[in-house]
Amino acid sequence: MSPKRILIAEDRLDHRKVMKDLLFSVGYDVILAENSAEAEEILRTDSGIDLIVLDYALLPDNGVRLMQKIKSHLAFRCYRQIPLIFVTAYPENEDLVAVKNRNIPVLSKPFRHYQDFLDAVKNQLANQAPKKGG
Amino acid sequence: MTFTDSYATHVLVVDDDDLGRNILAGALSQAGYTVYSVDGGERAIEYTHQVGGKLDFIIMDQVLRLAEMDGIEATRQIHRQYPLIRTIVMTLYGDGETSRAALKAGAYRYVFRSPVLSEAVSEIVGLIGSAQALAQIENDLRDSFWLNHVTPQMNMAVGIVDRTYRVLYANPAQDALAGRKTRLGGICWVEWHNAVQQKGPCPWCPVKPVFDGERNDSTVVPLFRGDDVRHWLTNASPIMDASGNIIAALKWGEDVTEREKIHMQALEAQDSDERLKAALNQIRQLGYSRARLFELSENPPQLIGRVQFGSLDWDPPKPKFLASLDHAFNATLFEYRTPSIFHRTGEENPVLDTLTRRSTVNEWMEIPLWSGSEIIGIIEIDNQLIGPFPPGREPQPHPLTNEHFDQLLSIAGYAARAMGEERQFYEISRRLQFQEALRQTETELAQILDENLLLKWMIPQAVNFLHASGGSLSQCFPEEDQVRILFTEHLDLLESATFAYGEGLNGRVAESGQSLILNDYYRTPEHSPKLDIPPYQGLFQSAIAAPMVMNGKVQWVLAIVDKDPSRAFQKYELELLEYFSRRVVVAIQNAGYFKEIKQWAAELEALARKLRAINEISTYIQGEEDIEIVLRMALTGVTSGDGLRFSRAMLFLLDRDRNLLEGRLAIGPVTRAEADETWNRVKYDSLSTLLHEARKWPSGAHDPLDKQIRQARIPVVSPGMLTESFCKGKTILSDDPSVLRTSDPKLASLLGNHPIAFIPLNAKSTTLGVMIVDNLFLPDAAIKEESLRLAEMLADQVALRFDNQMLLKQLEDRFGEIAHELRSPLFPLKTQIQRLSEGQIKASREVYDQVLASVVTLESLVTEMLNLKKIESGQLKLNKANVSLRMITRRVTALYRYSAHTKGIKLTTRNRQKHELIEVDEERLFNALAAMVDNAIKFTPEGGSVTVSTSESDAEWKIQVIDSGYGIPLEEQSRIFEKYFRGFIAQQKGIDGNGIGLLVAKHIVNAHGGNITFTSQAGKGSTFTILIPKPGSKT
Repeated sequence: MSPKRILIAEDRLDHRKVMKDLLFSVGYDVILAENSAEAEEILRTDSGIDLIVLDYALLPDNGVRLMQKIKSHLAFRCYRQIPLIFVTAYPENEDLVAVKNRNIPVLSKPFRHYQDFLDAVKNQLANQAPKKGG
Repeated sequence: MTFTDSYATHVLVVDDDDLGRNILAGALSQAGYTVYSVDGGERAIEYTHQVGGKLDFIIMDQVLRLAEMDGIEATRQIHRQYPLIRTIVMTLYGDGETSRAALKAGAYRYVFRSPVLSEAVSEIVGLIGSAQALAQIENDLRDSFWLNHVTPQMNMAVGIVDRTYRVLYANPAQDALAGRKTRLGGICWVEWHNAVQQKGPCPWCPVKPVFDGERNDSTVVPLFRGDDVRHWLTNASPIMDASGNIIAALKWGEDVTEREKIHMQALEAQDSDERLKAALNQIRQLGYSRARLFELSENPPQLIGRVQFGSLDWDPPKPKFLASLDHAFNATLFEYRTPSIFHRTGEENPVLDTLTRRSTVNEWMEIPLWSGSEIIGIIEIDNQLIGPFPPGREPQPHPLTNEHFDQLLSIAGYAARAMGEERQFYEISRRLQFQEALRQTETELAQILDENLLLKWMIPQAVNFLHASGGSLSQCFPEEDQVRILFTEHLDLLESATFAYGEGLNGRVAESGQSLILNDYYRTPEHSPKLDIPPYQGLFQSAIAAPMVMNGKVQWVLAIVDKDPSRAFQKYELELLEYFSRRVVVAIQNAGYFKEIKQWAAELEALARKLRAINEISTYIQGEEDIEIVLRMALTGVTSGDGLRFSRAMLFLLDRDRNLLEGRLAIGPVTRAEADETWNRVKYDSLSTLLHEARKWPSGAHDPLDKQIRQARIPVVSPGMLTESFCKGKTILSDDPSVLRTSDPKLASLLGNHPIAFIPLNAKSTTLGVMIVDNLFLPDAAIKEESLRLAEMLADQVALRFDNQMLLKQLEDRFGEIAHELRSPLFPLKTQIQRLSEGQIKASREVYDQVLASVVTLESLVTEMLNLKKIESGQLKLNKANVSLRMITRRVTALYRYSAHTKGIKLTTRNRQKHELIEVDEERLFNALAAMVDNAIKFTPEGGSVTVSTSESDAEWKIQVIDSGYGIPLEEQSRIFEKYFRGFIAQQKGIDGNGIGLLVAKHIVNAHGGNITFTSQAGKGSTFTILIPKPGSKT
């Protein structure tokens, strides 16, 4: 079984690097995007992404808008059901309420413990697995 | 009376000391007095009663040890009953208090009871001697013709004053003073010596006082009664005893307070008719059969029959006006200067003949009565025989001759003097009456503070003063050539009558500004023909008028008239009227000032009220969060009666996106009916009530005007006063109602054409909108500058409210940003440390670098903020030392090595300076350079390069940070040192930063006397250059 491929869309270099290190250390394949446009580009060209870690404060589109695009645009139709994890330094942001309502995990940076992040990734992938299989 | 009844002098010695008593009694006996003695106060009183007060002197010891009553109390009791007994008190202590007590009790004198008793004895004997001499003089005065007859006529105060300042005697005219101790003023001694040294004998008085001529204040002695000065004793003369010693002064003088009145009464007392009769009686005694005395009054010339004898049908003729008889009058009566005999020629004026009762006489004599240089009357004499006589037996009248010429002249002189004095008396009397009346009205005058009331009030007053029958007050209208009667008193017919300038009494006074007397009004050529016809004719007989001049112009004319045909106003009466009018003019002016002050005070009060209102509104709006309510409150304040009282207020705010002014809110009625209804409803509501109500209004338009205004949209770029006010941030007042129609047609259609003002809401850096106010429904729709300034103040408050809100939002945003900035580096830091501690990763150079980089970011953020705070509060202090420039650049590059490395940026240094040491604050310069390098790395894409280069010239150090980054867009180059500035690229690429790094760096370099400059090209990179002057160099 090939390792799961995870896209991290995060504008801050040091944040990107830490999350990449974490996921890499437990065996995931990690792809990095430093803005929403780059993320879109990756999604358009790479159909093998298993999970996206979205930073809320992305540019030019923020994480929530990027999510909406992914969920609605024809170009991303194969990713409509892709598991997502939001990471943010603005956990109280109102836009994220809608995200939380969809049962998408929203993790606040810095994480309470880095394991929370790894668990969330693991859970999201696990929840998704049967559907994907089915 | 004690002294005079018996020849001997009776002395009672009262002393409880037997030895003293005996010595004193012995000495006095030896001096020839009849002496009695007792040993106590009560015995003294008893004895005095026994002898019925027939004592001349009592020598009273002050302390009577054995008795229950002391000497002073005994003196008091005896004096009360027998005031004429002179008590000499012997004081033991010689202190002032006892002496005063003794005198107060009624003692005549006091002597010090010297231990050497003989001294006291001889003083007492001397005193008694003087007193006796005084008593003798007093006796003589009592019989004096001068005192008994002359001084009562003159109402003079006359007294004898002894060395103790006591009045010993006062003349019968002042008998209230007799026998009483009347205090005299302290300057008595000066006067005393003057009298003693300078005065010679008096021709009238047995004690020979002399009149000292002019009153001289230094010799005036006020004579008191109670607390009032009653008389000035201005004249004095010494009184000597038989040996030539001065023992007292005779003083006399006039009554002070009622001198004028006394003078008047004195004149009145001389009944002038009686004196005139006496004069004619002398003529009768000279053997003439008839005489008539006429008095000539001046204005108008008239003859008043006063007294006569010898005419059976003499009815003293009522005064007859002789204006029409001028010619005859002058020709026949007064063209001569001395007594003259006239014979009938047949050319006599029959009216004058009838008047003077000489129509049947063929021969008569006229004797002019001269007073000074003018003739004031005439005596006419004839020898008409007075019947009845049997028919045919009429005796021949005795022919008139010059034989009594001298006597007649003398009699005429006497009569003329009597008439002159009488005239003087009347004038004085009128003046006094007038003064009194004026004095009484003075208070009233000062209390009337209304011009019309004063004018109305003055007429009856003047009529009253002058004992006239009526009066009027006219107002002058020079531009209409008209004088109009405003108010009248008993002249109702003349109410509102008008006269041309120069016409009649009022017209003439108005024209000339001079007061005027028109006695015998209807016969004067100056009278107004208007009044010749009924019902005006005969309204009055005589009139006077005075102009009332204010501000150099005759404003009113006060006229006083009299119906009595015998009344002729005199010149002094006119003077009184003039004086009175002047007083009223002053009062009117004062009233004007008062009104002005009152108005001024009212305006100040109104202003204060408005300022208070602004303060109140301001308090409300600054504490209000909802901006909609803020606006409502502001406009409520502008329009409410308790506030600025504008009729209406409208607000336009800028819609930035569409660049137009949008009607946001309006308060105020559209029609007058609505205005009346609204204002009646809220008339008694306080400002705070209205403000509270404004808070509760439902959102959306609340009345028709508001609805209209809310729909108005006016592009900022369109012309007009509204947009001009907005763009320039200036208040515009449009006074001319027609201007609005052309300048702002859209507004004019909404609001109508009337004065209107535009007040911008000027916030700190921008204009938010414009407030429009008007006074449409006020009586005067004009807008005052002052109200406008107040409205501006309120507008500023609203703008401030916006400013505050923006500032608050900015602060909140900044706070959030800072917190976020600080939290970001914690993420990698925390994660890596957790993993390290749990052994998930191993410590490696890279992990350490990663952790360190986070810490460095945190540190530089905090350092920059602290530096900024210090810079902004002016507390940035440099701690300079010679440090190695190379070390500083090395530290910086070491710090950012990891950051650069992770981005694949080549970070290099180039040190080219010859000298290594630089005198700077190492830490601060390090911070500044770090901020610049941090910036360069952030704004340089991956794979680029950042170079830190150092060099030096003779004058300065040069540190450059050269990057191959995105560069700074041209339009942003002027703003990169602004506080919190985040450029387009930073926002677009989500590059972190607090927007203060460059600013802090610049301040630090500036503090070193240096400067930061940069060059940049979009897409190619930037070069930032720090230049720091070397110490001693001039640049």
